Amino acid sequence: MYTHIIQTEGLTKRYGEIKSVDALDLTISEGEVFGFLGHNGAGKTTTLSMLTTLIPATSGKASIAGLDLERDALQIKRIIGYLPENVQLYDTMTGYENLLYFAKLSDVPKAKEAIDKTVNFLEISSYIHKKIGAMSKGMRQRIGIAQAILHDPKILFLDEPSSGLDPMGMRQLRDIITRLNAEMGMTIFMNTHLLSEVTAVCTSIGVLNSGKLIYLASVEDTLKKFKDEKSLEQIYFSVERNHEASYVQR
Amino acid sequence: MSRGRQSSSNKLALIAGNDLRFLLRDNVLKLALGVFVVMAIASSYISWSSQAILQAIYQEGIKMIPLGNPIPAFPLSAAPTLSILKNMIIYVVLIGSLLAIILGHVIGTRDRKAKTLRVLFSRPITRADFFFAKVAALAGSLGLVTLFALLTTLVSLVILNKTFSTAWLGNLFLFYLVSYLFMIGFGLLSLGFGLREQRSAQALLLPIMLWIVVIFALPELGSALFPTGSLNPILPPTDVLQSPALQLIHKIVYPFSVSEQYKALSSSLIGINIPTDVGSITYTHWLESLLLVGWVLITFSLAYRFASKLEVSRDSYE
Repeated sequence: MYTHIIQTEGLTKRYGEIKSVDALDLTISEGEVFGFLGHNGAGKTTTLSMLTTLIPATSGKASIAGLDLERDALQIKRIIGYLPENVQLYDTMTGYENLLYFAKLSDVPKAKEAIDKTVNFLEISSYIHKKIGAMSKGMRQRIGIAQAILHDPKILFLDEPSSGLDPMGMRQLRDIITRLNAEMGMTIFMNTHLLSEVTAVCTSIGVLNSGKLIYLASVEDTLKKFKDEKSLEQIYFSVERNHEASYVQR
Repeated sequence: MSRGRQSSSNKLALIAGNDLRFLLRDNVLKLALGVFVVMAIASSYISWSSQAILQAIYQEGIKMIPLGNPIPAFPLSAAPTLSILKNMIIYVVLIGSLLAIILGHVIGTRDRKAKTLRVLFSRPITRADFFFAKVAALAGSLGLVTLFALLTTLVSLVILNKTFSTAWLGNLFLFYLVSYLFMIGFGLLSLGFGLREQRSAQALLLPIMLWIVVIFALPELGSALFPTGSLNPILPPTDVLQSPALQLIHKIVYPFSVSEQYKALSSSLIGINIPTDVGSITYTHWLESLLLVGWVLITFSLAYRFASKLEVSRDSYE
């Protein structure tokens, strides 16, 4: 049994002299929608790559649903779903063929049934048999989400999911994230720098700055703590400002 | 929810099958098949046509022999059945190996080009599963085109009214097996570079550079010619035995001259002997076969080593 579905202790990723992620201590409870904030190059994608077992950590420990990141990589892959930034699937294959391929790779026992269920859930049946190359960004995004959830994962990792989407697409995406969390009970870990997205769907947030976690709290507590700030955007800048100030003081 | 567990071999078949379908859809495999079939037809046709011309000349010639004098036998009547594959040897060396490089490149770079590596490796597959699946796709696609070339040769032999025998059928099969081993080495090199390199042009140019070394440079050094001997016809032919330096180079390089080993072995399988060197070394067919198997093992190990450098954390590709 585990107390936190995602737990990291001193998780570090170093590229030569540069620390991309610096001693990250993070705990996320089951059922949360966690928004991981930070400017470009803060180390969000590197963190996500380590948590999805795509790259090894240089030092530190991490566990996903009680499984050790280093030792149990294959089991972890079975219980997570992952949607990279700018969804990329095989252009010459249809949406359905892509889903069937990834379902089989994900050890889904009744792949076709799982695809039907996911297709209905995401309402993508009208274009599922189109080639990916002929789909719009929004359509691809949904097929990408379908790919990430059709094996019924416990945790869904999303890397900048609304990148390049139009306002309607962003709205639909938020609805999907909310439904995945509420109806399917998925824990969601979302890298983003869109604060409006965080306000709309997240239950807790973390802020990463130059590889260091500088803030971690629930959205509710954050709004109480920074009640004088008008929006989450202002809170975010306030957190970053305070961190910079304390860094200069030190 | 109950979760199935596919074995590594199932995943291997799944990834390899996906690659083969892509090769078919993208017409790469169809084009490769076409080239191999044309090569086999061209080899048979050229051989048949030259024999037919000589036969016609022979028929005209014997008419001039005065009655009562003995008529000499047609000099090519004893030509081995499989000699129609004579030209195929050089097609395999020059064109087949290049096609194997292209197949290896397409299979090795496909996922990086589609930018699906991150998604793929977020699924429960290992790097070893992925590498062996890629090798299986290469082996399958090259095997398919080689099989089509073999069938084309068989059809040509039927059309030319050749009498079937188990001996030459066996040799025909061995000829294509040896050709396959020779070509797949280049495919493996190209696959390895395709998996390792971040740039598409580099991934293609590196195996082509090695192809130039194996196909042109090593045979030239291995045959102990002056380095420019085959390019400059004004230079006199070299007698390797008179030059200790060239003899030394020849002895060192010849074992690595895989295309020479292939030419010697395949020509003996089809019953002809193409003089491939002017030096002092001649190998037994067993040794030549071992060197070819060694070529496949070395290129496989290199490809495996290159695949271990596969970068999955970035989806960028140039």
